[in-house]
Amino acid sequence: MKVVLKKRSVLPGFGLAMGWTLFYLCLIVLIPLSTLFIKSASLSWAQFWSAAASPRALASYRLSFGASLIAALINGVFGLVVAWILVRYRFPFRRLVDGLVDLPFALPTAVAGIVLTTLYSPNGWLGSPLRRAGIKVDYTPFGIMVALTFIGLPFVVRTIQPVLEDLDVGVEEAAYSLGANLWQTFYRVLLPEILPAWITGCTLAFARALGEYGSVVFIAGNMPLRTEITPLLIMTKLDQYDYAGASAIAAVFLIASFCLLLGINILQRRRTALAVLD
Amino acid sequence: MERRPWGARARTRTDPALIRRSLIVTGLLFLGLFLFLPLMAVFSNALAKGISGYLGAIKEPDAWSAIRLTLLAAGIVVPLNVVFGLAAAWAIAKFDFSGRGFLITLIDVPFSVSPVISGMIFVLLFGAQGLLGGWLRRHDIKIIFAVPGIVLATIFVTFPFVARELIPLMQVLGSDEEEAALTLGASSALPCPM
Repeated sequence: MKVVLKKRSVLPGFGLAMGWTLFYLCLIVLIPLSTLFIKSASLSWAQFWSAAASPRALASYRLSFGASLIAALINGVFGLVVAWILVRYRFPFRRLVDGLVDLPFALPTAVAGIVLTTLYSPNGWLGSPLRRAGIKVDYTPFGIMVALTFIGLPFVVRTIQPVLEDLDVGVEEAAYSLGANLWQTFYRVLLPEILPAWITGCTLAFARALGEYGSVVFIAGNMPLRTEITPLLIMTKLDQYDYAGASAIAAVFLIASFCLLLGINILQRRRTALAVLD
Repeated sequence: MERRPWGARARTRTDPALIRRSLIVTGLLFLGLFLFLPLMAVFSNALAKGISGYLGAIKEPDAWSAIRLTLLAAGIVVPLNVVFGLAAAWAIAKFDFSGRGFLITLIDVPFSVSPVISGMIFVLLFGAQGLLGGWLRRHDIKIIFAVPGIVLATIFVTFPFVARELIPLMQVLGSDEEEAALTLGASSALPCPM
């Protein structure tokens, strides 16, 4: 049986495009990333596990993954609401709000971090009423979740918006005319259309939140075992010139993030393939 | 039946007022808390010492130097990544080959890598104790802690964006126009996706 590596195509440029793509990819992405694994390979298995699975590292994984997950879910729920009202309803300043949604994406993370810390500090606009109510946000995992929600905000909204805009009014009206009520129409007709984009948006927000450093370190307080996120732990190890230990933790973290992304892409392609079959 | 997307103006029914209003209020409250307040705080802090204080801060030599460096890095990185993005999108969207999905995932990798790790790998490669550190020192080339290092790290981090935007677009547009151009006698250099 002949192995087909590439389907015949009349369009030109495959060799050039593919060659340049692979060259650039190797130079910028693969070779630098490989140094991570080369450096961690300089450790023995025992050293690798003591670095990558130390109590401090494990606490940071729990915090990073946990806070990112909660932030992604908050963005998932409210991002859907925001995208819904932006596409389907009219209200004053709608276009302005639509433009502002991209703001966390454009703002440097350090600026976001400093601003959020000022907001939630004991004298801040939000910090002082919250303190009076007995809720402490700065220097707690709660503050980390707030920062991660802020920076993940545009992802869900921007991923769902085009899908909502493309929804066929006719299908929805047909559902109503056949007797479905609001909830049934939403749950059975609209939600399945939105679901792939919703999952992609949430996972993008999750992936972004996982790696986030600049906006979190100001509001977190960075206490080891309590409010220390994994990227910060890596930075601390680097400051102590423990390059091998830092590489070990980074390698574990990287593999987890990569598997996540692989998962989304597989999900998306399966969904697209199913949609094409319709 | 003709498709009428929600974006189009003509709509025959709207959701009940109660649902509409509560959703709008919920959405705006969420945005107010997580978006508008931080935005207002940024500007109120920046303008705390008045417009003259704001302009004075920007005119500081440190600030100018940082702005110039940022613009320089962006000016180098964006054209490079556009060329790469076009090449990658052309190869991926117009041709079918094994390993296509894997290539797409590889291109997306910098998007999922933490910025801390993104910087660290270049330090591991070009830093004083790095793999190429000795060679760079012998030839007196500075990459880390200098502009080339900044440019490299920026390329890494913004690498996927152009390709990610172009690939779905090219897939939707299809190859019909290019194939028509080829049958009408255009040379290989011409049927580009413009």
